[in-house]
Amino acid sequence: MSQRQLHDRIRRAFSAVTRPPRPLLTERIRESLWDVAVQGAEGRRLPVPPVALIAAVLVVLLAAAAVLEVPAVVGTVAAAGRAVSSQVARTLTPPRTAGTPTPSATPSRTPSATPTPTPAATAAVATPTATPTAPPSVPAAPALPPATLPGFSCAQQYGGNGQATMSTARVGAQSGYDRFVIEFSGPVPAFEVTPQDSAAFAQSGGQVQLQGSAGLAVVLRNTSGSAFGGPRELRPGFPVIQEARLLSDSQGVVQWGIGIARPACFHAWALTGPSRLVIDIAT
Amino acid sequence: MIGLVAGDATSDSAVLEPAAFTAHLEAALDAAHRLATVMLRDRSAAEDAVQEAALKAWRKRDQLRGAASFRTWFLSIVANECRMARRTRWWHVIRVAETPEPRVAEVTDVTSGELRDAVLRLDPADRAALFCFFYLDLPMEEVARVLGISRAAARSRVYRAAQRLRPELDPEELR
Repeated sequence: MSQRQLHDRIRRAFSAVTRPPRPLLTERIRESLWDVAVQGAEGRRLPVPPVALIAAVLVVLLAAAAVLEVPAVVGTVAAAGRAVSSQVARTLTPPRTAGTPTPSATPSRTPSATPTPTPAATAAVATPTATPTAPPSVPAAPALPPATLPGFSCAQQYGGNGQATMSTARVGAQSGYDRFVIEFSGPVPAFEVTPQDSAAFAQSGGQVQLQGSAGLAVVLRNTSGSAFGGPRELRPGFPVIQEARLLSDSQGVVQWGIGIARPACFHAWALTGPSRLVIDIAT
Repeated sequence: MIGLVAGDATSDSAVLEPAAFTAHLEAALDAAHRLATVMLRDRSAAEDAVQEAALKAWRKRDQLRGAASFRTWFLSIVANECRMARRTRWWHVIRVAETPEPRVAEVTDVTSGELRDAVLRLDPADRAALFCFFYLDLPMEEVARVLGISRAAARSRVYRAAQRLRPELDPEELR
């Protein structure tokens, strides 16, 4: 056997014992990279501040002082410990987002005979939301520019392999992209999201024209809207998502149409807790 | 000997942008998955290893010097991940070793079948070296880089493995 023949045969042997990666692996990697990118952008990994270390040392000292029964030392160390603990609490508390109403840390100062509404509380209650027809979307709002995040593509995307009924749907406008979410009662069923050049979608009995000049056709299999409690039609008027409509629900196949303002790349992925299909469309 | 596949020869930027990173990663995925399968001999374990390697590659992408070397760099992370998987999951290796490999349709003649069986009987590290050299057509320097060993050690490993398949092999043929 010549070296060339050996080379070819070894190559064929390896070709026979290995296989190309399944498309599912590519999807898995895209999703995990997306998660990591979003986490990195949000800065979820809080570094352990040195003050936490100091607090731990003080706790040890306090315990040692208590064992030795030295009241003065106990008092001093306890005071220092309280100060450090409050510092630790402030450091570890995640920063509030601007749009999230938060209860005031000092709800009332002194009792007053003529109570007046606190401006902060009034503003928090009266703050209008961007989506009047639906609750806010998934809270994660990555600061990283979405156009550079992995996972966005302008071609058909698919995934999911579960079986569950739809529970609700909603939309949300985020920085750099609009989001359409369908929640399920169980694992996200098989889905296909296909871009199209118009906002006209096939429906039983003809075509339906949604708002927008392009569209995304969402097909879900092994699911139904029998327990669906969300809106069947959404017209948020977002930068990209103009309209989303539940087009059909028959024999385990559900179709949604999303009318968008212009052809755009998107990222369709399944998330858990709650189980949901998320479609982010670049703005 | 073919060096890097098309798609590797791109810009020399120090840190890849996410979109470019994904593109390079997907171009190297076939080789990475096959390498992991060769080292672990289990498809699910290989997929897990490649996924974990992709995450690690993403996290330390600033260490990549030049996009042209992306494939070799990523394969070295995959190989390392497979070694770790084998170390931490020794029971898995034993289980797989006891599982007969299914016959594959492409290998029809007896000689090729025997060669395939011989390849599967090799030590995983030797098999990986052989795979990089003969299947991926990597130069010996890159085989060494992928396996995290010296060039001399890589050459020795490839030679040793190939000699088991063909005892009369001349080491001069492996350049």
